[in-house]
Amino acid sequence: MGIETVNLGAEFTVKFLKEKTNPVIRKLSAMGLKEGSRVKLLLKNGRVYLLRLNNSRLIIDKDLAKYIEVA
Amino acid sequence: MKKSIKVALAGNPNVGKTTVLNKLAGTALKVGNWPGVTVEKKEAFVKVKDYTLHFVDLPGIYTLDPISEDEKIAVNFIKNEKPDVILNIVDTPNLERNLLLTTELLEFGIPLILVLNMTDEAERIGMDIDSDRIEELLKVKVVKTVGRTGKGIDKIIPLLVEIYEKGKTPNSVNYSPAFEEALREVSKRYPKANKHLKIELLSKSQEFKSLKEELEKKFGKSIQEIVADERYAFAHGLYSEVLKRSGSVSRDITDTIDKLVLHPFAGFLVFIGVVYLTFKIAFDFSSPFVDWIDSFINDFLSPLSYNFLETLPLPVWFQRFFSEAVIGGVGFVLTFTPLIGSLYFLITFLEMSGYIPRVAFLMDRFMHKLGVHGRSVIPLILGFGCNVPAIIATRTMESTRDKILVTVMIPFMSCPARLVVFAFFISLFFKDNPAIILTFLYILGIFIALITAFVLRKTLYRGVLSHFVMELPPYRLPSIKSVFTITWAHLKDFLYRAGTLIFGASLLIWLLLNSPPGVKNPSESIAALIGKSLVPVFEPIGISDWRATTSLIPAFLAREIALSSMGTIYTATEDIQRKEDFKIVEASVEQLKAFAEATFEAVRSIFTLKITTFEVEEEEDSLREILREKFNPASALSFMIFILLYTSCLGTFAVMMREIGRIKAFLFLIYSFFIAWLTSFVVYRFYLFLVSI
Repeated sequence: MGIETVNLGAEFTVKFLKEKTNPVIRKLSAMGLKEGSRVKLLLKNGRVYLLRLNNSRLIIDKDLAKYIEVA
Repeated sequence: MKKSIKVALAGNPNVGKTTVLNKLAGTALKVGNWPGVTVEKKEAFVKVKDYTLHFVDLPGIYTLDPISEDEKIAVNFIKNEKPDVILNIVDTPNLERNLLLTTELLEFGIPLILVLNMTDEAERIGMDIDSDRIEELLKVKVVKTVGRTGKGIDKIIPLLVEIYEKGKTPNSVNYSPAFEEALREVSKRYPKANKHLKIELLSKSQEFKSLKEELEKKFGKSIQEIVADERYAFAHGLYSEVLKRSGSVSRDITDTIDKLVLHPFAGFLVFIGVVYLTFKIAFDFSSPFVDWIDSFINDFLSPLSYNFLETLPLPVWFQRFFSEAVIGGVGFVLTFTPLIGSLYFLITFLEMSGYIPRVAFLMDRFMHKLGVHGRSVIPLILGFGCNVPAIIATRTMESTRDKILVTVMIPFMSCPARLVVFAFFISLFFKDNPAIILTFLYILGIFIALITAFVLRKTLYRGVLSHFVMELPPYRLPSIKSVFTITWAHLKDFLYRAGTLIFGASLLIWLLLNSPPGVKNPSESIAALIGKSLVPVFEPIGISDWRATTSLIPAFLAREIALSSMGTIYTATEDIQRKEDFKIVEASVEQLKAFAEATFEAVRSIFTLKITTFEVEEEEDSLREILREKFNPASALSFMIFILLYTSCLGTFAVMMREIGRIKAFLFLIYSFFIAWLTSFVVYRFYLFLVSI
């Protein structure tokens, strides 16, 4: 399932990243969002999500979020 | 002979590279909390013993796999310019993520110092790192620092010299045996290549195609995935090995503040409040100082200079040049220094505190309708400080389409140079509603920017929006010293321009006003001839005085020159009276008293909510009197709109040529002239219509 199914404030694990060779996905991984990461969905605003990842916060758009499968 | 040591500062965005460099070298570099502030290669030179340390501050990168232009700058520097030492700065609370880049940097075989920055934040969450173990495992030097306070930074320079002299090559990732075997094959043909280059050759060169395919078959994934997985595993293993105590995930005030600041509705109210307070404080705090400098120049410096010049055997024309071009032109623009300084101070403070990147999140929904990301708001906000760095900041955009759309919006964001002109005309013609007129001008600029982007998006740039990913830094209370350093850097630039560009323009205008030689009446001068030939173009928008149209020509260099030129022209063409009977002691005491009063007024103004800047008492000087006769509210508004919308700034135009190309920049210049003229025309005619009914 995708991030859109996650409730606000809930934590999830990144189960799978699609298109791992896509440069944007590689950047996302380098920013710490990779398979196995524990992430908290902090906020949603229109087409962007604010995620909490350890001690950092990432903004990603919904189109990019489609590449992420969560559990 | 002194030897040069080239030191590259590399690290993720928001890890404090520029702050560390500021403390190391004492240089005034642009720093900030959002990714990509350091979009240009910034340098500093420090002399130590027999060495000159040449520091190069690179844009923040997460990996050596660049996407945006600023990331490419950093990666190309490390690959091609071969620094002698890498100063790898990491954000300790996010050490594991940062170690991925460290892992990649180690593969260049360049001596490396690992700077564990923000150790205070790590301590606060109970995290402890074994720096000795890192040194032992990686064969690098490790320094623990707190960039904001400067703690630990003094240890870096001696270590840099030591590590350079010893030429210590660090350890790098040990890949799996099969992969290492493949790299050995590459080494046979390229024995001098470092590990990073060997991996690149193996991944991309046709020469090793079969070797690569063999590996991919063996591992069951692409070579990029093999390399990435092994590097991640190394970084993770290293992190686990050196972590003494992991600490808890930070529960700082950032999450609490974000609930309000990033709320879809409340966040907008906060945004409006922040913008209002920024401008209110900038205007009200600076206003008493602007008045004081004005009086200092006109009532103290100017008579003092006249008295002095009269004692020297100087020709009359020189005294006229001094009063008309220097005092009338340059001096007039200098009075606005406090306003520019205050605005830069506040924008820098917001940038360093972490608020500005939040606006990207907040505004994404709205900006998306225009076909760009919320992230585009950041260069636009910076545009209110100065259009030039704002356009350079578009290098962080990952697609050319987004970059062009944002670049053409920036010149419509009203910068302090325009504010100088607005402040003057508003105080003359709109004293009853200063805030309304000023707000109208800012909103008009934003509106034209949005229309421009919208039309381009629907016509020439229909492409698909690139993905949006960005890190939000935590809120941090910036060091006031750093904020002042950056503000001073901007002010220095403004003063430099006043001494060069504005002075040059004032001189040129003065010469044209006095040419051909022997001309008695300035209205018969070359300047008048040029100005009068432009009157038919500007008459429909209410600017029919040749002196005003003439002032617009040199204003292409920088907008505030419109005002300095007016100062020069009107001072030369009208008989402006000088103050007689100047007594230096009394005047000095008077100026000191006036300065104390200005300081008191400035501090007091902060504690009121209303913008009081333009609500000044009837204040008169000669130039104001003359302009009040030559302009009326409608033509003054039209003039301000023209200055707002026409890209009359050589710096902005030059940087646009560099960033989006010569042809597009020229087309934009023509467009900005057209839209400025048209909008001025509509507003001028509408104003006259309203007044007539």
